[in-house]
Amino acid sequence: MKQLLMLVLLIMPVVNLAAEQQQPAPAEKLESGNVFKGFLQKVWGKFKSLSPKDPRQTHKVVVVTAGVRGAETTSSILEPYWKDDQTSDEQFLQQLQAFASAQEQIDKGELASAVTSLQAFVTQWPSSSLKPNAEFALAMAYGGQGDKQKSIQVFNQFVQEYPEHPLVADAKSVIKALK
Amino acid sequence: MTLFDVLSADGIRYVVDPNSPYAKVKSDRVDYVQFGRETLKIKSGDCDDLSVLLSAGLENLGVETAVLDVPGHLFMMFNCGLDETKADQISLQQDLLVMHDGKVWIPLEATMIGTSFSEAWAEGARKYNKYSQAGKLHAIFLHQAWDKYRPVTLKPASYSLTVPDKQKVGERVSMEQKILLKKSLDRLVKPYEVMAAAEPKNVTPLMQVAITYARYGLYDAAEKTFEKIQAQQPDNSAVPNNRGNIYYMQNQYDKAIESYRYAEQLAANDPGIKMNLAMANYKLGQLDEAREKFEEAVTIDADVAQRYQGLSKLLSR
Repeated sequence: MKQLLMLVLLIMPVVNLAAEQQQPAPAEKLESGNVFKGFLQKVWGKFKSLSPKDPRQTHKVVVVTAGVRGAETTSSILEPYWKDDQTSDEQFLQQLQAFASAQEQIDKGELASAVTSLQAFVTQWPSSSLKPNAEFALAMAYGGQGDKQKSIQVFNQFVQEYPEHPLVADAKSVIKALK
Repeated sequence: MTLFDVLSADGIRYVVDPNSPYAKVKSDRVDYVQFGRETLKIKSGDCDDLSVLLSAGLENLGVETAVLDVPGHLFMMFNCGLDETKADQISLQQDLLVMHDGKVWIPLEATMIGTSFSEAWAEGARKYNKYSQAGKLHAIFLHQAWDKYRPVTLKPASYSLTVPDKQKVGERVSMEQKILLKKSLDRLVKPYEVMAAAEPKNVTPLMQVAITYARYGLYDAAEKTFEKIQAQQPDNSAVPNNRGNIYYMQNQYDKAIESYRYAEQLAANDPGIKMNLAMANYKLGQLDEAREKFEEAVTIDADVAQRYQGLSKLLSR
């Protein structure tokens, strides 16, 4: 909750500044802008919860057992091979790390860096299964920067490319709110 | 969770303090708060007694806690030690969690002791949000409070306590673990289900869902997912190979070998499948067959010998 509030607080001045630079904002426009930020916050939270995590980080946390001793174990040395396991695929893990890093930049409010990272991601790995996530995050980062046009453009691209994606309805709602 | 279940299994229950209920505490009235050991002895307490008992138990294990004061009631929360940026590893429902000082805290309704940890958590979160939004919640962090009010050291008690029945505790913990495991797995598989929905022709994310279920022992869920993949790609060798792993994990090595052999027919040059055959054969004591498959795998890819050093040692003559 605090993290999301932070994001909104970080994004708010940037968005307002961008809006003010384009045209003087009348009072009612500013009000609707505030509502949009709250909505953006909700969509970002949902998006994050639906994005895969780096399993190397996840495992680090899972072994912590609140200081209770005796949780150590030695697993068998005869672990079977799981074919097509993405968590053992170095290339996928590299993509996951790059994506997680860009996501963290957005969390920290480093939106310009996030845009650069995500643009690089989609260029470097155009057929990655994380590309829809990268595109969605890119559109969100543009929106956070106050660049409505680019945000709408990337969201439209996302909707067109991945019509079956469970976040399509959210993308459409953001587009509507940005218009 | 384990502490909550141990205390629940011990028969500790909530009762309203008949003499000085916390709800009636005002400037001219005080409530008696039991020491943890008193609550353990009489196996009951009101909201403040149970919050104190849980906090004391957790602090004793090195887990930071806070007492939550709301109008007419007291409950508690504890720091689960996880960074707030990783909150979704605990729950996808943000309103179940409290973020404080960069960490994820879990609110608990202590009076629900005797029910289940999950229920006490949900109720604690509901109350936290309700009173926090109304600006009527006061969190007292024990470590900060101890700066002002030093913890007391009591004389040794004149009585001893009976350890709760192992079976009763085991049943509760096992049930709660099942619930939390399912929730935890939902968090792990959901992102891959989303990826699969986004690109229905790409079965890789779906395979990840199946592997995750299988690794955590949810074999039926894994099998259902394998069937979906197989319907789309009947010749995908990963399905029989990974299905073989399910048999392997259940010590059904004959069935595992059968499944691996089918996978081998579909992907004759996959050294991993051959390694699986080597391991399953080894488990059955069929060392010659195991060595043969191991050699075949190494012939295809010399690097696998390094990766499967353990097996190599087990197969040495």
